[in-house]
Amino acid sequence: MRYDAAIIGAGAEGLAAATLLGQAGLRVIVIERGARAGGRCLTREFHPGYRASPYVDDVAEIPAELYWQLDLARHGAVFVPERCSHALWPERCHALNFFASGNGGQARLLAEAAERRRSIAARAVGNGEKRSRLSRAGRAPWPAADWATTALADAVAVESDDEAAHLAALSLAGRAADPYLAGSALHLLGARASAGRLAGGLGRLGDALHAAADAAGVQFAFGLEASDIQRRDGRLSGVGLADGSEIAAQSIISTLDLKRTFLSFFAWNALPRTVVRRVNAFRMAGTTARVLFALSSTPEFAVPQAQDGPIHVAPSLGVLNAAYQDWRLGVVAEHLPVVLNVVSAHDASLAPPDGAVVTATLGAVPFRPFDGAWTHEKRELLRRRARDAAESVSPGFAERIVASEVIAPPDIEDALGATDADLAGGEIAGDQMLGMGPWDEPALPRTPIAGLYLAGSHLTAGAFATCAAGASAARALLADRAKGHRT
Amino acid sequence: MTGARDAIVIGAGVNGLAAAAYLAMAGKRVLVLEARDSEGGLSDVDEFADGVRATRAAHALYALDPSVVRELKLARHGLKFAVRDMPLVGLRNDGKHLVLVRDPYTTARHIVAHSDSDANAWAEFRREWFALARIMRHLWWSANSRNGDDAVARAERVSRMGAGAWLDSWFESDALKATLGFDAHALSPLAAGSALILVWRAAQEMCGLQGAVAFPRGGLRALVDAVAAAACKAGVETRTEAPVADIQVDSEGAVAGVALASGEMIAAPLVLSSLSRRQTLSQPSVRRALGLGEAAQLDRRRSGAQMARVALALDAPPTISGSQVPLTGRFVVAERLDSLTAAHAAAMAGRLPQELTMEVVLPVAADPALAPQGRHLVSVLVGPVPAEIEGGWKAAKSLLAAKVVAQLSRHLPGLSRHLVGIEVLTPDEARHGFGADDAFGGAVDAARLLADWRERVRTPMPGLILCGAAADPVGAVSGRGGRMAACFAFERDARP
Repeated sequence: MRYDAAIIGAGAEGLAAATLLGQAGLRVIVIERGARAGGRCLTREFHPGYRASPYVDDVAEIPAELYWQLDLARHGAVFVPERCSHALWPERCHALNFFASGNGGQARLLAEAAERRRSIAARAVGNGEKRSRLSRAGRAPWPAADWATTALADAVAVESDDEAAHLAALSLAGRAADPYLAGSALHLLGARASAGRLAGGLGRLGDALHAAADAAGVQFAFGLEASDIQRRDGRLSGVGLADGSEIAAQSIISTLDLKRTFLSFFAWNALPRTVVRRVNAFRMAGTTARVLFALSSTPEFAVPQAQDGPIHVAPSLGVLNAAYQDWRLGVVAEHLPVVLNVVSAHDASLAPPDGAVVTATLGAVPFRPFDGAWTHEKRELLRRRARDAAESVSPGFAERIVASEVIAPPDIEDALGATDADLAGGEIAGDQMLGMGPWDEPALPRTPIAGLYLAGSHLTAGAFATCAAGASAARALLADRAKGHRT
Repeated sequence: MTGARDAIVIGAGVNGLAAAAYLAMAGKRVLVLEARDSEGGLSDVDEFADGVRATRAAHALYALDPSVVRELKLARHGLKFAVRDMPLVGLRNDGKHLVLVRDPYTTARHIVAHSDSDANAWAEFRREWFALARIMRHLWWSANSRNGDDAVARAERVSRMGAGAWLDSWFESDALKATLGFDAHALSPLAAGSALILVWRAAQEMCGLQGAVAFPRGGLRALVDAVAAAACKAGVETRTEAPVADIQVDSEGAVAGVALASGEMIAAPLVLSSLSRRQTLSQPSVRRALGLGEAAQLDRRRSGAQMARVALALDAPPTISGSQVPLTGRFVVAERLDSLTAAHAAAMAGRLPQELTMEVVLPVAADPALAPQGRHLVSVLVGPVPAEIEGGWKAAKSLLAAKVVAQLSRHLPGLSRHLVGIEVLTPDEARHGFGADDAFGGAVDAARLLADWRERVRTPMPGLILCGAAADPVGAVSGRGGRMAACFAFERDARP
């Protein structure tokens, strides 16, 4: 059977694209090497009775239009927005209350970031219909283009140093950047980008997206790994699988990142030279590690309401800068930026009665340590860093630990197939996002290979919207089909 | 108030004199005020050892505006070039120096010693680089075209890139990347926008050669003399030792004139300042007239990394160890792109970098008349170094000199044995003595690289115009700032 579209990867983007195509009446198949749909939207038990979402606590906002079009509410994905964020030092605290009115400079900055994020996502989704970046519409300046040449430290210099440090930490959670370098202000798009919390954990979103795709008549092929993209007479003919068989399809949407799509699905000499050079030059680098803690009782913080949102441990611009410098050298910094999340505080189903689950997201963790692989000792180092950071703001934390699990960058690469464990799908930089693809024409999500579309998390929407890249690819595919039928 | 003028120019550097000359040629009565005892600003020379004279900061011409040369008839006023196209030479620790010349095929042959694939990529890279530069030119300097949209769209990707990422996308060898990347020293190679500084370099066109770096006969002093002669012929009046204490503002918030440190007031409806934007706007009356908010904003910006200048006088001709190199080149000492990145990070933190990155020129090799018989000059631009250093530049000055000598001795054997004099200009001397926050193109703001030229010369105060290096995307001895400021002044006049 020949499908109209084959989608590689059953993550949020792939499921969104599949659902939209299915709703448009296309025969669609989703090829997933794992046994379940959802990708990073997963919640699992890491210790008997304790559950957490291992790779991320939350995903970026889903554009409202898509949320309703995918009918996610009916399939059980209901988000509760985050209320606050706290920066805790051993002796002081700085709180950002997202719903308080009249918060001054930082509230304006966060509101601006949110608005820019939304219009970037809207434009990325709308771009599906536009072929050319150099056309009049394609050339209009993107929102946030000015942040592409601004330093984060300059952008967040609002009132007090604590506030600036808090905003920078909020923007850079789990990532690495030098806040003093021009261009780092783009990370502000990631400040408070979360879609909110989901009762039952992030896995619920994966299930909802899966259910939506099912309802749209999408077929799934689990446990099959795509190995190459096949072309016959200059046209796409289908996806070759690792077991040697082939799934015939007219068009293909790859939700893998740019590098993996081009460097693993094609022989390098089958591609134009410029494309190979640009794809090689695309910068990806993992920055995130996670530690999941199962606790015997709820941890105590100097400010009790801190557990309503993310807790940034002793943030400062200097720490972010130093951690970034070490990260570039492949060193795990002395002071890593750490964000704690008491996930069980919102969702009792994640921990047994009396118990608690806390996740620690560590930023500036190098994917390739300068001295070789991620050994047991280095993983223990991460565990210790996370535990010490938590203990410094919540005395007694260490004694409550029942069990913990370390998720180092290579684990993320293995599980999610993200090159170099880069959860954002590429370095956050002005020349790699905001409409800038690795080639000038055609405009993303199209590629120089007719019929192949990209829906990796980074390229079109930046890493700051969920389902937008998938929707963008689906719309591009539909627009091209409509055009093909007309002519 | 004494003798009102049509315009006053603060600072008699190349840009200030050029601005004055343009205004005077249009029939304005122009007065140039210079705080020091001679014209020339950072391009002036000082004798520092035994008859050896060196310019204060600039040691070659990277960006002289050909329109200025033509319109002010500088050739007739004595400007000649000793070297029209200085080769770019990367001095390598292993002695395998890299020589980049104009001819792409010769250059490719030189690059082969470092990397085959880089040699293959060179011609294509250079083509794209120079083409991009020609596009950007219109945006940067076309006084009569406001519409740079098309150019910006085409150059957009590179304009948001770091020089490091851009060079990484083309080349693999450290030698080539570091040698080329040094020219973006005003920003870290990791900073968005630094690739555009390389494009800016390639956008220059002196002596009809795109992207050339030249050395004038008689050194940079000869350029100052030529511009001063042009200004004098046009009827410009210049007063030296006349430091400006304040820019005066009238009741409507427009410029009214200047007050000298001597207490004298000079009225003029137009003031062109060669000082940096920050120093111009922090003149007491301007600050007051524009309101405190603006001043607070000025102070918030970190000054970050800048360049320092070290001149070394020798009693024997310098020789360079390792493979053969042309002595009339400019030599870049930067082992890897990461050396530049690390130097920037150190400079931002207020420390002297462990490994200095620098550019070396041998002026006497280019023009033997520059030093008395038996004396030689090694001119070094060191950077990035911190604008404000821990413990202050007074204390760090000799450390910097010692470090430069130690590091250069690797390439110039016998340097310390033949040393007869040494002169250092620290960023903080450049700032206080010359009002140059932007000296040597330091402290470039990435946003400034893409701003419309009018935004660079304009200030919020009517009648106050910037004409110094701040008026160019990257500061350099160009005369362009002066020309643009004059254009802007005429435009303003033409408006009803």
